[in-house]
Amino acid sequence: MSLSAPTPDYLNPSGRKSNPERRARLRRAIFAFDVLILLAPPMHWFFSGGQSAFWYFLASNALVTLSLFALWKTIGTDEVTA
Amino acid sequence: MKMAIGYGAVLAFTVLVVVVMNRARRGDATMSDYATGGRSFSSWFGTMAFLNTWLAGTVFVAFAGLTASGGVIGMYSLSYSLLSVVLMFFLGTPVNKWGRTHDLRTQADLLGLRYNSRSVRVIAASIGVLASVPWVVLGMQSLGLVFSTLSFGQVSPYLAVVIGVLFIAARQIWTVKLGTRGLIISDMVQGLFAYGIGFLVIVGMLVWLINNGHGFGAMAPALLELPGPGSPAGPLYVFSLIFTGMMGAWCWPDLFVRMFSVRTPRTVQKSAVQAAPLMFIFSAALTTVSLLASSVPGVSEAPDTVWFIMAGIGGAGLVAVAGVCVVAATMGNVGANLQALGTQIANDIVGARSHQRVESAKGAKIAVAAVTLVSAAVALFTAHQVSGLIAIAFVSYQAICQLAPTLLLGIFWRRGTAAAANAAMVSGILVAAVLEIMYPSPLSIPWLGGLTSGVAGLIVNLAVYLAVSLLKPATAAEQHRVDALFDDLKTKTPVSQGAPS
Repeated sequence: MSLSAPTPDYLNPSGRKSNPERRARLRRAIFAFDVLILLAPPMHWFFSGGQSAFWYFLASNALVTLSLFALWKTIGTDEVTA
Repeated sequence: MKMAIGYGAVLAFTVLVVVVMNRARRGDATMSDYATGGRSFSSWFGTMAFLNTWLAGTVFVAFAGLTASGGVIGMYSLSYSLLSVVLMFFLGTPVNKWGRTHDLRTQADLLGLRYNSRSVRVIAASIGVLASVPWVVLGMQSLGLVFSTLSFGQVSPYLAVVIGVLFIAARQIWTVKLGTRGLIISDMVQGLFAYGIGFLVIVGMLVWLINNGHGFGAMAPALLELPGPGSPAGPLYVFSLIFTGMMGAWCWPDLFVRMFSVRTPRTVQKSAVQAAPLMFIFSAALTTVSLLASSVPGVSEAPDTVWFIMAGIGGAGLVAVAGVCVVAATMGNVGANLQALGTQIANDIVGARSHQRVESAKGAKIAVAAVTLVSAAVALFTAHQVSGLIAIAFVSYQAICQLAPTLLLGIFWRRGTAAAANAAMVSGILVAAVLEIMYPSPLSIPWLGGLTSGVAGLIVNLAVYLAVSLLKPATAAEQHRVDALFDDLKTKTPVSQGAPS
């Protein structure tokens, strides 16, 4: 597995400068999504019976794993902080 | 012959680890280098150090046993582990950057800097040490099952615990000598075996289970249910288990210092991104095996041995490999714990008391050796009373997660104050302890909808932290200092405020 560094702003083909504040908001939204799908009690209640509980844990944790890659992509090379 | 294979495999693996550690040996004379490994490691070392500290040998024993006996609820550990990785991503920048700029060596050191308070630092360090020791002792004792199994009936369970404790204590000679640098190098070797070879073994077990009729259809239906509204455990029980695990994760001193050991904030974040898929694939596979194995004969009678029962299908050789996986995972966790505790005692309790910044690694080495000896002695004396120790360990988990509001809000919120931190930690621990005595873990509190004592403590803890911070804000000078700390995170060359003494 190789994690390439995010594209610098000057190489952005759209020519639009990415906004650190917008990226920070996106990171917070991803965090909220992760917390919601793994921690929200209604999710546990909805998938509480039969094999669905197993598949719920598997699918939700797979999504959170993928969200880490999305978080990584939100880091701009111009950013010093997360 | 079988015993020679089992014990020989453990010995051969240990020799390999020690040889690799010694080849990477460097003289870490300063406390900072000893505690952080020179802040020099790359992201893959960061990833494996995190995994080998977090996924202790108990994942193969107690956690696998919980899933085999309790069913699908055992998968809660995967959820809180991944949420901890997400938190690691966000903590990376402030923790690593403040660590490098202000020469921080421990979690308590960081809290001392953030709150500009010796009492916060000493209370946090004391909670960390007191809560971690029972887990170190249990980690040492858990090797008893390994040495008992690998003897193939030749060694009594008690003698196996004694052998396990003496073995892991002897292994710490190199932890004491080589500090964090040695630990992180050994984490790579141990992690590759425990989770790399271990994963291949798990895949083999999964194939066997499916081919031999141990699918979901063979499981007891009750094992596929989660507690919900109307259940005895309460509707908020699963939430509580995951929330406590997530909040508690970065409160463990041994895990937290891993973020100081890698090169840059970006390296911490990259370590987290790499750790997530490895954690997911390994833990999901192990819990699935444990779940499906619940229908294998003998597992329901002794669920904690599910890993070895399954390995036994492949003969003595596979049991030996399975045993080495547990040993490799335990080595990483126990070593990291002892090193972090010793350093914290020398740096944040003895150092803070003497009002001097500790610069030599000698004190930390002595402290690590002392904690190892005390833990080994307790492990030997309590080898016959493991259940009592488990109760203390549960209490200590509820206690250590009470550091979370002080730690996380301190890192992400500028307005938290030292008075708030002290009041919050103490009140949270008191509430959690009282409720833990009334409703001992893993029981939930019925009149709180299934919340556990730790979460109830956290609610009080958080309320106290916010109330004291808002009602009695920091002085203008202190707020200016904290603002400067946070503002420095946005610059490429932060300015040191001086290490806390």
